[in-house]
Amino acid sequence: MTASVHDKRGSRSKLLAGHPDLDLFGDELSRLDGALRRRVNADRDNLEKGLAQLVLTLIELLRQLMERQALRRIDGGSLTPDEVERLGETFMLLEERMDELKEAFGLEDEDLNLDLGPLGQLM
Amino acid sequence: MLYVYAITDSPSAPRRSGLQGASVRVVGERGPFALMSEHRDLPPQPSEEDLWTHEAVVEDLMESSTVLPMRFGTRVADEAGLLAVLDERRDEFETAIERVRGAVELGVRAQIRTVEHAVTVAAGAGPGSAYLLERAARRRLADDTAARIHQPLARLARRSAARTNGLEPGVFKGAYLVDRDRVEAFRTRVSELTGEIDGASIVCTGPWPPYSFSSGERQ
Amino acid sequence: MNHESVERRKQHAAAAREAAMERAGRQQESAAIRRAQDHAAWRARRDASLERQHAGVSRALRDRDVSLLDLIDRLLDGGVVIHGDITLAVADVDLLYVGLRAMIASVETIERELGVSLSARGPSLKASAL
Repeated sequence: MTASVHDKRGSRSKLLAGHPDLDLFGDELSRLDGALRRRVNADRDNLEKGLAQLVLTLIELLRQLMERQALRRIDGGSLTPDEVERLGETFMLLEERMDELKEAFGLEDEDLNLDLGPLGQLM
Repeated sequence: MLYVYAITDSPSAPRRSGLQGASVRVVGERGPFALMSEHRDLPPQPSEEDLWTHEAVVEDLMESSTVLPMRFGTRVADEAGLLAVLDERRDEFETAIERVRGAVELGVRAQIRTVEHAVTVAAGAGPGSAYLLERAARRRLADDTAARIHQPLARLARRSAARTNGLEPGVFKGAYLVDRDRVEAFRTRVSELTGEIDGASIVCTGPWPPYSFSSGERQ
Repeated sequence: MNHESVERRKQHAAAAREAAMERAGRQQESAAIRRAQDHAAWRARRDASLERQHAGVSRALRDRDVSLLDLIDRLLDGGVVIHGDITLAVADVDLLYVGLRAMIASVETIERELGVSLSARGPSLKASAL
């Protein structure tokens, strides 16, 4: 049976298999909400939140990069147990601090991503 | 200005109208051809409606010919400019057309949850080490799960492009170029995988025009 | 120096060393217990937060949303690209620059408010922030 491209279900549903549930979108929910409106909100009222969003996004990007680096070095065995422990504690604290800041600014995980338009998403 | 929808191997125009209700025409001398509509101006920000309109035009064409869909928002000044592009990049377009002939694109998305899995770390590790070692173990688990999803599906496809996000290991996205007569088998396999793999939400969308396999640079 | 006083001094030193080690041992042990308790408490907080994020998010998820998301992915990031005279990309890039300019102008405010040091040597968290 060949697949006809014309969708019998109506033109806006392209689901073929599986059930979309809460977890599925992860960080890309923001793309749905804001894809067709702009991410960087220059509106006065939202300026603070917009700035926090930008900065936290960058911090989150750095955190992920640093974590990846740390894990690589752990796998490579180039860190002493003490260094691993200290690194781990720092990451834990950073995550906690990030959670507090996100909560303070009313930001969710999905908000910490940048839509770079033609370049796709930052993370 | 001309708004371009797709490059195609057939000079037949679709029945659907395009953006702003404009009629869609075919441009090109001997192939490949381009599908376009003429506009005085277009809003810089597309609405959801516009996206689906563009998609409907391309899918309509796909019923009867092989298409290379354009990225949304592609415009050229005039017909001469468009013909020049078709001429300059003829080889690239013809190669791409052959690459995707008879196939459609299917998209697979998965969110892999490792939070529920108990991950053991060495006893006696301090909390910092435990945190990092746990992250490493979860990352490995996510990668393994992504492979368990991707490999059986890649086998059913002509080509595939899978992306695990290096920074967020639980997110998996794959694009698969699947022969039309294998779409059903692919769909079945995805359904099976949703049952087989614990801790992952998997969905498949499609059929799509081959957006991920049309560009000359990316192959 | 007579033999007895040397001996006694040695014994005193040994006793003092032992007492110091025992103290340190006890300290180490209680520090470890404290860390383990902190860790457990931290985990509980983090899991509760994840729970909230997953359960509390109320977005209407229908076939249409997944479809739209995949459509956007393809239309905006995929497909053939022709560099025509006018492209849609201009608007996006301009807005990104606006955002970056606004951010750069307010770096000092950000550093102060968020306790982050954005120095040329690399960003870091100020001690006070932790």
